[in-house]
Amino acid sequence: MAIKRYENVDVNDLTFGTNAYGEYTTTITKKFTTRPLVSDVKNSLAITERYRVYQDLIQFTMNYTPWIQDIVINQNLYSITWRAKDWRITDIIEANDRMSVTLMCYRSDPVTKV
Amino acid sequence: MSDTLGQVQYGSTRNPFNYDKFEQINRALTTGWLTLEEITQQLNLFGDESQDDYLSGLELAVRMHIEDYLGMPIFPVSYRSYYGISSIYASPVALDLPQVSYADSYGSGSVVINSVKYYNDDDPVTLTTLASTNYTYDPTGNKLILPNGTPSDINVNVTSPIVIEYTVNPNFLQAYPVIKQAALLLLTHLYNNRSETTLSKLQNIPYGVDALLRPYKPLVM
Repeated sequence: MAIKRYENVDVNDLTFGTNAYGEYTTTITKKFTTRPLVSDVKNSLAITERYRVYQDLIQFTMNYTPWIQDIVINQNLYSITWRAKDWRITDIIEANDRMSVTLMCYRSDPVTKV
Repeated sequence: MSDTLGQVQYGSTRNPFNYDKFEQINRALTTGWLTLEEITQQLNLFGDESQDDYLSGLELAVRMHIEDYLGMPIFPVSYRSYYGISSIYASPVALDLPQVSYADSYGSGSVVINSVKYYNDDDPVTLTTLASTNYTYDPTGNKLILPNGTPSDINVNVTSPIVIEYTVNPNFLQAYPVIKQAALLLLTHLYNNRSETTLSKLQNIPYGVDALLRPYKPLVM
């Protein structure tokens, strides 16, 4: 039986900019800590001709609060820190009764050579 | 008066609980009891402070429910009770206070008599304050005793000529973790269920709010 657990995560603000060399930069600033239900952790590996591409998926189910609602509205401006890794939001499902929000997040490991 | 249960010796006209009516006249409506830290831990919100105002309001409702359920003030509650003419022909006169909490060895839960007033027989009637030397509070019987009886100019035409205002102080039990845990359970229920109706029947968990609070609910006779 799958066991869903509540685990502490940090919700981060993302700020996008450009550095002196003209490179795009992303600044991650912690906004608050919360405790979602963590479920459906999936790690996947795709082997292309030259690289191994690891991609991890996860679901966080959070209580519906004003701050979480803002994540729903501005999905691109937030990331989640869980197990010391940075997770970006791919899909958001808002419960119809406005009581919870499920965030599906992904994380890409650096590609490794085959 | 044939019912003599609980009467004062030689005071044959005292019924148990001889007040006519009583009303709450003051209660803490803004002071928090559970801390936001306790609440956000319970709801797994942790650092999410965006609902703090809503949670504080919910906490007040929960606290008031626990107070009402146990008949035990968590913060001071003031009452006004009225006594009819049948209560005052006794010697000494004993006036029951309808809502009290027991005082513990820490001094909490005690009753403070704020005023004892009576309607005199002037025309028009005047609400007159009785000097505090004319009455004494009996904590063992939760009643106010007027050793010298009622004032001679009390109005016998007014339905409830004696009015007592008193405050019940917070009870020590409010600091018990088991009572706070019951409050957190109730708060979680109200947080998760914001509608009067649901499509499916909800079930109580074992050892829930009622089970946690039951040992502390005084037997009311």
